[in-house]
Amino acid sequence: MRAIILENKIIGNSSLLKTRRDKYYKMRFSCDNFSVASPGQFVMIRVNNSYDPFLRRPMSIYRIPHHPTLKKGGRGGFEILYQVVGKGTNIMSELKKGDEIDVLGPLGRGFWIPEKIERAIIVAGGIGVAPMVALTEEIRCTMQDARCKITVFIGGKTKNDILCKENFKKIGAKVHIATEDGSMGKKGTSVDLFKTFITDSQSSIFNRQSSIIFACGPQRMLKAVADIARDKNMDCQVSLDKRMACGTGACLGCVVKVRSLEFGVRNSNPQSAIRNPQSYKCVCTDGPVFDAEEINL
Amino acid sequence: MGKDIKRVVRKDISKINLSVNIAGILMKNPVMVASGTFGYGEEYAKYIDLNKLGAIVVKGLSLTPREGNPPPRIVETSAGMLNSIGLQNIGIDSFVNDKLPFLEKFDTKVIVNFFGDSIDEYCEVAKKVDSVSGIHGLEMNISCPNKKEGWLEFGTNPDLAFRVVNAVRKNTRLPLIVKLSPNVTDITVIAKAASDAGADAISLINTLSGMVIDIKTRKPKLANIIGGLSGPAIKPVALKMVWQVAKTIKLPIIGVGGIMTYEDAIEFMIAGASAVQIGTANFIDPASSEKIIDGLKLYCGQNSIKDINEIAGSIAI
Repeated sequence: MRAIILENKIIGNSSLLKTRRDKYYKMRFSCDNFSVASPGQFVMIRVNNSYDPFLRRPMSIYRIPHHPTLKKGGRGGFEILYQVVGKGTNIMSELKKGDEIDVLGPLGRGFWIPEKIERAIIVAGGIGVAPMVALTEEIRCTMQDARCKITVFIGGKTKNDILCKENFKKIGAKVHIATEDGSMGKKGTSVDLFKTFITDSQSSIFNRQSSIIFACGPQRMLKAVADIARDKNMDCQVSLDKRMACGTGACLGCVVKVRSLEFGVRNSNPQSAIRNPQSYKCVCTDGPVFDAEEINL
Repeated sequence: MGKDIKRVVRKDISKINLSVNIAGILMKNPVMVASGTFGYGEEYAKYIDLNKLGAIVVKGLSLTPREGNPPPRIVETSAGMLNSIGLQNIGIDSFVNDKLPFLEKFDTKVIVNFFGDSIDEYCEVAKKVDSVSGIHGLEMNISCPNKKEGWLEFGTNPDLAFRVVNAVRKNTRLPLIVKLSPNVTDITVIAKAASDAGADAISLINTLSGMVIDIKTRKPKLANIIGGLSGPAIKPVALKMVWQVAKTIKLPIIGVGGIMTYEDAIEFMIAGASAVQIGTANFIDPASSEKIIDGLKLYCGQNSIKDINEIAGSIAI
């Protein structure tokens, strides 16, 4: 479907280079018949009409406008965040307000928010914060009375790679920051911060059973978070970022190995209960959000 | 005045015959979707009206489910992509029980693409679906190694190709299409072997073997090291092979390889194809095949062609 670009602007410079490379952008769209997305879902963007680049680019949805219930067939919208890392994102960075591009979505299975959680712990690395903004906004929106506490750990190479901290603060989340060079927050990674938090506050501050971890970032970061969650016997959902061709479950190109075929016991989302035991799952349709116990990171 | 002209054109277009008969499979138009690019149909039902398609060739099936290759399985290339999915599939029984009922709801032809590790396995799959209603034809993928006898690919050796096609022929009454691998010295030799063995139609081409290397890590970008190239990059190769084979054998040919637009489809038909398959284009635009069908109609209208079958093999040399 055709989406109109309402805004495409730089929100951060990762590097001091004069080129667009590594810069972070925010893009806002208006789109006919775009059904309301759920946090963690993604869109496939065709950056131009040529065969170079050839494939669509999968992009996490960063913000979902919360209009009063969108009428079917009405105009929907969404925002994405992206970092210029190659040919496709470079072309995207040149697009202007009013330009039209071809978008497929919303796609995939997003995060599922269990009822009655008292604390959501968010761990994000680099551009992995994007879906977490939509997620925390959704938690705030749907659990206004529940007073769910939201704790966010953001990590990046330098202070220029720390995005969206204001978004999280605005909704009353407690934000902790780590950078690899120590230029903002603690020196280290978001996983270091998260680990310290979990270990320190294990006994007194919060109830692990009523808490849940959501993580998005590089795969080795997700693995580290999942290992800690398993160790502490906590629920953990991870959002994966893989190269994709179709985004619809047809090409089987973006698969991830499943961890256990008996999975489904601890998971609160009935949809993901085991239907079709196979060694691989598609990130595009079975995910991109998985229970960390579901897959082999 | 303008309105009248439009009406006349529309009336003419509605009279154009797009239907084709490929080896007894009567299709409402010559546009099929290629195996491995359209899942089992339901993946795309949200994006396109399956009733409009000439046929759906489902993801390749084997006797038992296959896990496929480890990731990464795909990588983008210039005007194309490389894949090494490794024939992951749910197995023929699950297809018949769980996926076929959905496809039967649509007014389109269902063609089962299948493969095996041995001649026996090919025959077993063919036998299993021979009397299943709702399956209108078979497409054999012979680009697989013969694991029982020396691992040579069935599709790269005329003798092996003959034997496997001939054996399957004896085990099915369904129209039998054989899909050829382009990774051979002379495609016409293999096409002739398949024809002699009793194939009813030939589809060509499967993906071209290729690889991509990451110059930073010096590692291949696919876990499987090599994969199959598809997309517009391979179209000229496919077109040439369709032309060559059309000159050599009498069977109907289904052209496949990098078709993105109706103009591409017409090219294949002029070269000698009676029908076409849309593959990788489905990933780029799920509505590709529908747009191509509309385009074919338009092309015929504009060129006073009353029957699409007139185009097949009309190359002017």
